[in-house]
Amino acid sequence: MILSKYPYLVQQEILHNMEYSDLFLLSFVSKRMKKLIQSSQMNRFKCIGSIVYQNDRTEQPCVHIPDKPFNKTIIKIVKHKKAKYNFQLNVCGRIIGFRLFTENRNGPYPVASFHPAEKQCVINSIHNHFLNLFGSSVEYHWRVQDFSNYYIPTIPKLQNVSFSLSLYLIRDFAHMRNLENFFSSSPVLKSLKLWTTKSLDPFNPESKFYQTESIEVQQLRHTFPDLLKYFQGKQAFISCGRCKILDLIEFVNKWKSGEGFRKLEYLEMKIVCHDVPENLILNGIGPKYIDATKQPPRHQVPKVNGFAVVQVRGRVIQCRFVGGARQGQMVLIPRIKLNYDFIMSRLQFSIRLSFAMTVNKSQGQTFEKIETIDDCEALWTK
Amino acid sequence: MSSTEQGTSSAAPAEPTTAPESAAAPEVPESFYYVHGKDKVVHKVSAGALQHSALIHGMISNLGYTEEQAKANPFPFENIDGDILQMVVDWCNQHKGKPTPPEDTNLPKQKEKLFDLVLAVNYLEIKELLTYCCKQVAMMVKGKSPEEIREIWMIPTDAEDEAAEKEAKKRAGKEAAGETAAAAGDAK
Repeated sequence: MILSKYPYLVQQEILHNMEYSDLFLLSFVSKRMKKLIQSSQMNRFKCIGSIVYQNDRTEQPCVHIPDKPFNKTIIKIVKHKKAKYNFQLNVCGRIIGFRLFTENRNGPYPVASFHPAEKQCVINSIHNHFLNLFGSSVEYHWRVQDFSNYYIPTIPKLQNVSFSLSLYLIRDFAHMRNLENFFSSSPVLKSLKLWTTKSLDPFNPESKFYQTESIEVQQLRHTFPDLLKYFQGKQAFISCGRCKILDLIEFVNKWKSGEGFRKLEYLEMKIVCHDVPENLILNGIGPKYIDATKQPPRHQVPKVNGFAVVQVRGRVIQCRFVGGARQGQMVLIPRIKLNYDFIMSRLQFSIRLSFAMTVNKSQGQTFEKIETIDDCEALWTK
Repeated sequence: MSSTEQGTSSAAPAEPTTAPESAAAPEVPESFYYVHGKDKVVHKVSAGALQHSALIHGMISNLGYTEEQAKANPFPFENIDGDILQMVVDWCNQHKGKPTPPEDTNLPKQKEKLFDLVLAVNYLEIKELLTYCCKQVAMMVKGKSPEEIREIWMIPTDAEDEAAEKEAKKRAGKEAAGETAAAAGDAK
């Protein structure tokens, strides 16, 4: 069978039926073949959207294209083991050992190996090959998710990649300086999730940490990191047991007046443990009352760590997490509409969750649905 | 008259592939065409089955052959091997007037057969069969290393590609030189 004897349209159709991992390998067969892939599959590559480097603390990325029901794995990059590597490829000038691996759901995909000293170069070479093969329309994300103890990940220097991290600052966390250094030496992050318990010294107000585009924090008592003072990104999701209401009021007024937080588009504040003094907040931030008969404006958070708004009823919107650790879960967000004397867009402020009601007043009642937060053990063990 | 026709068609089940078709649509008598490949073996195919092939469909829709004319003028496909054409005809008969299933597992497993089949199907413009064949060809290299892919699809190496290109250039250069020389000779 000689592929080159087929007409172009037939070749295109054949390549169209190949998995991304197979196209990746095919691109190494010859330069001409790589060109054929690039030209014939251009439209397909434009629809890819994003390619994700998924990491845990071992930092051996699994590169995939997010898809439903299963992600499409292109390649895994792992530390060299004694296992046999079947073939070597010249990836952007670097010789890398490969083998093929089959998982239950994921058809055979290539596994590339690196020696610890050469890890950076290997990942770089493979990434450059992706950039070259898939074209400039693809977004690249580097994600680190690890659900055990605190550790500081290493962030590789890669072209055109945005970084999303999840950090557990819960047990044994006492390396504030390290963490600050880590943020100042990394590129500005796309999104960051923090689980923290202890209250700690805040970061330097100028820290690059506060420039992160989207931050999600869970903490029993909201003290750290002081997002309400220094945040400069687009979205913040704060979930806490308690927080200083006065800080919150000061924050809203600053946001409203345009004095600070100019990039901020969305803030979600969940206060779980105590009743929020609604009147105090309303008095502090301006609006005289909440008109329960009016439909609040529909607001859809752009997908950094996104929600999708499912339903709007009265003062409550029902939302579903579309990404992240709580993907698929529902959440209810009541909203207070602010009244201004001047024109300003997107200043809705969601301030309290219906959780607050169920936690304190649930005795003896029956609920159709309840939601628990298991990250926050302290809340539920009391 | 139509009743007698119906009677003959149901009473003569000599061609098992066409019998149910004519029973279902008795008003329009099925017309047949004849094709042959390299081996000159003539296959009788109904117009309904041939509709899969955009090429043949385009040819016959303008002809208006009678039965005798069709028999006397079989379509010659000299570039298609006899057994390959047999496969194509069988497929067209099997899928006559039916919605095609998403998978077709009856395709040949041998490389060379499949290769020829793809070329024939592409030439005859049978879109659905081409899609299945392409899927099958793509499956051949699933989970293979680049060197294995090179062997299966006989893809030349970069060095071979370059050499072929040089060769082509040389030839083109020679031809051009020959032409100019000839032109100069004519001028003299």
